[in-house]
This record gives sequence, C-alpha cells and structure tokens, in this order.
Amino acid sequence: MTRYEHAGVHPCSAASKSAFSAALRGIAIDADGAILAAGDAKVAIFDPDGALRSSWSTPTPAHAIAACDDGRIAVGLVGGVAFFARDGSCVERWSDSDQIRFPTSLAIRGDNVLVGDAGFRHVRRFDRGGRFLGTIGMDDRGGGFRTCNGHLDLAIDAEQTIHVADPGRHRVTRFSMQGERLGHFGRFDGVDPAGFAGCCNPTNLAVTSRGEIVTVSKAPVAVKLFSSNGSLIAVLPSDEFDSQCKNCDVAVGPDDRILVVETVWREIHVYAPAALAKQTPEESR
Amino acid sequence: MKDDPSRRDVLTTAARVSALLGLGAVGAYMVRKTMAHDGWQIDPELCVNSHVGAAELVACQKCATTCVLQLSAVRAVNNHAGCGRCYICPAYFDVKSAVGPDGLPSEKACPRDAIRRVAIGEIDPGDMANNYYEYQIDEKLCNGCGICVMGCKEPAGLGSIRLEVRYDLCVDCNRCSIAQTCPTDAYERIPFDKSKPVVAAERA
Repeated sequence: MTRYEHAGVHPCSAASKSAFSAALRGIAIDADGAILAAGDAKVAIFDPDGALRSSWSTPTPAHAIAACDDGRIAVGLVGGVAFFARDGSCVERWSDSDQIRFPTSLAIRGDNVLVGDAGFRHVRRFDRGGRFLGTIGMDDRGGGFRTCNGHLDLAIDAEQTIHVADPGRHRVTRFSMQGERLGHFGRFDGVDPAGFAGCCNPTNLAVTSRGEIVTVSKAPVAVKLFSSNGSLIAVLPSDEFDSQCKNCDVAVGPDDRILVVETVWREIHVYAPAALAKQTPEESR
Repeated sequence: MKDDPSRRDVLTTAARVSALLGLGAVGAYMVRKTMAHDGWQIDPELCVNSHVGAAELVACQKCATTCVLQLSAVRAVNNHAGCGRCYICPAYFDVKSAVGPDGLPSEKACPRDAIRRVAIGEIDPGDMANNYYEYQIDEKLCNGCGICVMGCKEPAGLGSIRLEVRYDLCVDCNRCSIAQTCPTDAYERIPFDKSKPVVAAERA
C-alpha cells in the first residue's frame, strides 16, 4: 500500500492553460512520462517537467487520448478515433459513426483498442486495424452503463482486466478483455467515503502499477484510492479543485504519480507517492 | 310627479350601481387576463437555484415565501427529456443523509414531499440500481421553493429541473412581490408567445 501526497499543480498547467482556451478533457501518460492532453479541438504534448513539446489541431473537439506502444497517439473525436504521429500528422482515422459515436475514453493494450463510448454507453473493442471485435457492458439492463454525465471512462490493469466506471450505479465494474463480467465494487453513500456520493459517481478512474484503482468523483471532486479488491485505502485531498469541476480525467504515470485534470481551471494536479512527493515541482495557480 | 326617492329606492339604486361596478371590475380583470400579451416569468439562467456557477448551495426560496398567493404561483418543472432518470436523484433524495437498509438515502430533499419516484420500464427487482426512474412533481404540493432545482443543478445533476411561473395561477400583479425580492433579478415580463417551456439544451 502506497501513501500519496498532493504535490501541487503540475508545471505543465501554465502551458495547458494557454494551449487549451476552453476545455481540457483528457490526459494520458506515455511510457517516457510525457503528458498527452486532449481538449478544445487540440492535442498537446508536455515534457515530464512541464514544457510544451508540441501541439496541433484536431478536426473536431478532442474528448479522449491514449498512447499507442508504437509511438502514435489515439484521440477520441465525435464519431470516431484519429491516430496521430508525434509530429501531429494524422496517420489513420476511424470515422464510422455506426461503430463509434462519442468516445470519452480510450485504452490500448496489445492488439486491443478499447473505446469508452458515452454515445453507446458501453465499451467497444477493436483490433489495431479498426476491426470491430465486440462490446463490453452492453448486456447491462438498459443496454449499457449508467452514464448520466455523458461520460464513460475505463482503464486496463497489468492483468488485462478492464475496469469501467459505472456512475449511475455508483460502481466500478470489471471485465475480462473478452467482455466477461468479473464483478464490481462500490455503492452509494453520501456520508461514508468508502461509498460514492451524489447522483452519479465515480466519473473517472485509472489503475496504478500495483493494481490499485484511483477514482475521481464530482460535486464535489473526490479523489479516492481503492485496493484491487475494492477496499478504500485513502481519500486524497482535493480542496483546490473548483466546485464546478466534473468528469475530471485521471492518469497514472510509470512512476505511479497520479495526475488529475481540474476541468474549470484547466490545470493538472499531481498526487505523488510519499517517497516522490518532494521531488515534484509545485506551482501555484 | 314623483316625490323625493324613498330610502328603499336609494338603497336599491346603490346596490344596482355597486353590482354593475363589481361586474365591470371582474369583467375588466377577465378581459385583461385574456388579452394580456405579457406576464411574469423566471429566467433560468439568472435564477440562483438553476444558474450554473452560482456559489450558493442553499435554495433561496423567495418564490415560495414572497408570492401574494397562499400557495405560490411558482412551480418546479422537470424537463423529462433532459433528466438522467437516476437511481439516486439529488433532487429527490437528501443525498447527504444516512443510507438506510435499502441502500438509499434515508431522507428526501423536498420538504413538502412533492416529488414522486416511479420506476419505469421493465423492473429488475434483484438490483434496484439497474432500474430507471421518472421523477414527477405534484403541482398541488409544490410551492416553488427551488430546493429540488438546486439539487439537480450541474455538476451534481443534469439541470433538468427549473422554476416556472404558472400563468393560470399567477394574478399578474403590476409589482410582483417575488420580483421585488428576487436576489438575482431573474423575474422579467416576457411576451406570452415566448413563455413556452424552455427545453434544456442537451448537456454533455
């Protein structure tokens, strides 16, 4: 079990505020620790130390982002997914709205491209060539997850287990890569921090290298760390988040730093394992 | 030639004149109601209960407490097309109350119990979180306090509930007492043809 500390606002936040004038929606961290960010109709890449490395425009607003292991960057756009080279050139685009409607999260592992589609309200699985392989979570009553917020987030752990935030049911549900339901944890509770409060939480999640699950809730923002069996480990401090934040994306880096998007001020907050916290540069808002 | 009118004649004439004046006043009021081209309405973008970004966390309740009518002419309205049909609705439940044995908040948000929660579609009795719910506002009970509106407001909810002045109930005061006290000047006179229910924009 790792103890985390709020290590302030990531230095890239100053650059992200200028890069994204209206919305910062999705973040990811690649194997080298570079931060990939999607928002407005734009993608931006930041060095681990916060410097803006590059940015480019996308054809439509960018809602989700993920790093491919071949260096490409996958970006969720309304009605499709686009793959960009690091220089910003679009090298491939899937744009069949019968297959992808509103991707709000992406995860790529091996030959699998998983799209958390808030339009369909389930996860859609493709191979790297764009061939549709199946749905995950569609067998739920109502035809999918209860994504009252118009947002569906997922993460894959080291065991290839898929974790999906099901905010309307106040759960995190687990699936195998083939879509077999493996169980869930979570319940509604507006008092006990071990539960999820409000109408529909958690909205976002990520998984650490040790299999711990980080969840982010809205109204107010709450960042929680759960063990792999769903037991609450810690509630991380989130006082600095604006009360109007919602659908705050979260990513975990190779060093297990947790990054959470502050959607109102377009900042990225850092939670570092205690051993690393003092090494993280802080920058005030 | 008739003599001076008797006391009975004077009283009879006075009663007739009073009745005519009363009828005239009622008629004028009805004509005014019928012919009126504008009336009081609430701008949901200004109403502190529904305005996204307003810092207040407690409904102001002026609509319920300052209307000249005993039961205010203001009602909460749920735009069902924009409602998430949530299992745990923050407009229906007091989501900060203790959880009961059924897994639901133990207290309701509405002090007048004016909202009904109805499971819709095929019911899954094994897992109530699997069901969808319609939240219906009983206009005979609602007094327009706005607590449910505040609960539904983004980002906690989807903002599908708003307050509306009911024209069939409003007596159309020239100086609306709610408008006088509204903290955000959300009351305005608008033409009736613009008073159609506002369809909430689809919220991402």
